[in-house]
Amino acid sequence: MRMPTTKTETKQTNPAGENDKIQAWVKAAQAGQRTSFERLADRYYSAIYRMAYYRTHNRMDAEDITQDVFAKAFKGLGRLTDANHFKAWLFQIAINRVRDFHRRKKLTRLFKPLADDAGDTQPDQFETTSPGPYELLRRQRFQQESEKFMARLSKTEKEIFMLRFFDQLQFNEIATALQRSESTIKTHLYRALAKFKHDHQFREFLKGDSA
Amino acid sequence: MTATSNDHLTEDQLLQKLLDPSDLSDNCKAHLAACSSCRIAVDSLHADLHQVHTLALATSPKSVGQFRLPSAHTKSVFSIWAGMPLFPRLVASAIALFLVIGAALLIKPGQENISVYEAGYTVDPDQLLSEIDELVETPFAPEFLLTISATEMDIDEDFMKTIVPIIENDPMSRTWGKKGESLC
Repeated sequence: MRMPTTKTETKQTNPAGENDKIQAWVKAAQAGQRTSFERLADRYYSAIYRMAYYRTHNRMDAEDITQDVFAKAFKGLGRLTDANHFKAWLFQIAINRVRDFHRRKKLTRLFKPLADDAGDTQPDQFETTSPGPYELLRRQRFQQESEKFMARLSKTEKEIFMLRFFDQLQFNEIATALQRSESTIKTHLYRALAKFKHDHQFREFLKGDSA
Repeated sequence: MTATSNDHLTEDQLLQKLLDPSDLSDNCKAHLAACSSCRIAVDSLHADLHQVHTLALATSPKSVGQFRLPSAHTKSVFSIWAGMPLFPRLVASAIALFLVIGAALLIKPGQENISVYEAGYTVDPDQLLSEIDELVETPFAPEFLLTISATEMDIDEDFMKTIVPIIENDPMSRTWGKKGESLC
């Protein structure tokens, strides 16, 4: 089997102009311009919120984590050496926050009666705009099917698969966020993709939904 | 593991195409361009992976919040205090303690009430005594004396006893039942 080679990802999500704008905002925020940081927060708020939601399945927890991520980012902005890595750095903070969240949740479960714990695993039901029964069912099925597929992946494979296909991060961004080399990221993703290729149930569900 | 232009792409090559198409050999690229079944296999995988993102995006709720930094001017007193160096904080604490103790020692209980009375009711004591004397000497109003035709009357203690006789065994009297006082 031929393993993926190390190669710098050249493809960027943002156009060059957008990247320049973000870099300028990062530099201005580092120089103390609060409005620039708020612009950056506006730019990436939904991405970080969705990232947290995919991993917690709870709107309120995702909202809390997102706020925490930006508060931490503002405090530690001086430590960011390359303005080009802002998005990846933000995701790195978010990954750590989500890990902390799950760790705390595990700890509280130890001291909670089982009856109280039942509600924690349920998907979030409190939304300001009701998605309707079809959307709820679709969401629920997607969560079930994707969780079933990802249960077959290792912890690292799952994280990388989610960052690549749920959060749409590039290889270099994933490598920065997880502080690993690009070749390691590609190797893990290769394994995840091989499992994805053979998961006919998940793929059938995806095809059925797109039809 | 390489494929000739006639062989279909292996699973490894299919996945390689998804991961990084530039890593594929020229043979594989040529085969992919010519072979519709291999192209369908790659496109199907690609479409499924794209559908993962589309569904994830569609089924996640919209965020209602936004991040705003706290205003730089809304620092709480506590945070200002906590941010100060230790020495100024100790000095400020000592001054505050000294002021509180000093104020507690200087203010005597009830002093504030006296000052209120002094402010509103300052009366000359001599004038007050002369008014009292006048009232004692003329217990009856001039109109009353004129009515009973007693304007020239010498109102002394005996006269008063005539008007208001002393009741010896009056239980309302202050001397009633006092030890050593004769009630008979």
